[in-house]
Amino acid sequence: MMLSAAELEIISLSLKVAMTAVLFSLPLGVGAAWLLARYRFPGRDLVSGLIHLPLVLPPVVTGYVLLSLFGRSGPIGAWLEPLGIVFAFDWTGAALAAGIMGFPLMVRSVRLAFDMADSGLEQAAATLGASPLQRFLTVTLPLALPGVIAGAVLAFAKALGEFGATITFVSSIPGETRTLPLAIYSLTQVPGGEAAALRLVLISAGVSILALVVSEVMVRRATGGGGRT
Amino acid sequence: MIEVQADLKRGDFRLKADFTGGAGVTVLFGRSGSGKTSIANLVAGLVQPEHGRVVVNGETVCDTESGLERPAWRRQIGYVFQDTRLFPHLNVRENLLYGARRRGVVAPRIDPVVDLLALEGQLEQRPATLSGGEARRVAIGRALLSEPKLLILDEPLSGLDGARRVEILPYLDELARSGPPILYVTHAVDEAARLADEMVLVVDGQAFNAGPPDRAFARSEATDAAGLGAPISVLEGQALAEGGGPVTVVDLGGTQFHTPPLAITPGGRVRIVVDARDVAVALTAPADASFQNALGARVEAITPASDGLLIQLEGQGFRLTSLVTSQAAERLELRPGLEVVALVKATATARYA
Repeated sequence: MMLSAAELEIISLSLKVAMTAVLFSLPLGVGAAWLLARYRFPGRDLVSGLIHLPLVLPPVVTGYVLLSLFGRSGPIGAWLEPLGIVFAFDWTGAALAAGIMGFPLMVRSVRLAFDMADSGLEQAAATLGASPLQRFLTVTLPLALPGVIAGAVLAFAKALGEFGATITFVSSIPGETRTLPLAIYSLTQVPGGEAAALRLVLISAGVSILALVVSEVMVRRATGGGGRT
Repeated sequence: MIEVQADLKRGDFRLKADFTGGAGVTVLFGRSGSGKTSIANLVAGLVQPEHGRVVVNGETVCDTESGLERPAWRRQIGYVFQDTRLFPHLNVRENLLYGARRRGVVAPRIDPVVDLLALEGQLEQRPATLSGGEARRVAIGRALLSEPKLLILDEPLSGLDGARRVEILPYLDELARSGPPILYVTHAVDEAARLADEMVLVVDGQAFNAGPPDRAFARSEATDAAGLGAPISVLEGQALAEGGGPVTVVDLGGTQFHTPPLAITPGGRVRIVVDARDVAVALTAPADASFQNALGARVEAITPASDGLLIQLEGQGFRLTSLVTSQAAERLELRPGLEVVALVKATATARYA
């Protein structure tokens, strides 16, 4: 199956949006998971609830909230615009929406991995002179790596498939915010677009399966195929 | 050198610790669940006291009065955990180097420790592939290589079978001789008798100094904590150069003591443990008995025990406790100050050195 220039553009835009979403949300997700797994602080339940909100809210509602906050006239959007950071009707907005929708999935997976990591090993590292940051980087994070990878892949898959929040927040602008699911939807809305839509559906499935295979290989490497873990 | 005066609270459990330890091996001795590990964790900085203070080598590392609490990672106290806690994602070499790397040592030298603990063959292995004895040795090596000012060993021989214990004990002897000050947590009599310079008993929520093993094990608290039927005596001396014979002669410091042949080089220090039930008391040395050891001693004290009388004996360079029936004591008219002969079969001794 040869891909047309338009299809290639859609695929590369989708990958760009999803990768940007994961890249920026990963450090935040790992940090949030760490806080929730290891510390008891006032407002902890509130933080946890906020993180999980996109999981239970209708995606359109999340998109609407993003639009109100990050639109050009929204409180955060208006504040960011003089700094040259624009989300509204831009591909960066699509990445923001995708990142926020995938965030709870990522945090859940990473937090589970931190919960499973033996805190006794962190104590052992402490008696060997490791500072809290060193303990995190040399013991906890490596042990939780499979969970971190799994969380990133979940968030990536979610970002690739995100529809409702994206279309509400940044609309469906060809070449700018029209990712794979939005493009498929648009094609089903025009007469005679079914064949082109089917091609995109197949492409979408292919990209998702590829991501799954890559993640499987990464998790195997992280958990020690061939004696090195 | 350590000084601990602290109250600890772990759930419903309260513990009052008040003891000091010297430059050698300080043994925290008590039953399982008596709070020994909590005290070790307090010293290491892994738990905080309700109030009190901890001083290690003259440096106060914790003082609730002034609000001082140095975190564990800045205390330079090595800790060999009972469950080893080796890093599963690192091989043995990387585990050993972990402490040195954290201190920013560029080219750490691990050879002396690898040699001491005989770990050359395991350097590239993962912890999961190590035997129990090897894992303990790696844990000891890892703690040593962090160049601690104090080394805590929490039951380093527990869970190991007889052969593995014999494999590790010589390394512990070497550490006790040439290593940093050691805080050694155990409930095993043989380890305490063999290694301790000073015993700290942990009994009924109290941790307190009980002196060197020969004094500590004469106390009923120690006997109870060890679950022994009768007190034991710990004799210390030097093996004499009469090797090859059917017995080894140990000089206790003025008194010669016979034991079954010991695998020890002449001149080496040795500790011998004698059960109070295996010590008989006579008024004169019997000429025609099989006792190898007839030691001149004086009765210091007589205390009642559940199954007889404990006779505390003191001789040239040793202290012995004998358990006799009250009938026997009456017949011999034993009383403090009386000069007697302590009879010990050579084969009734256990040797820990």
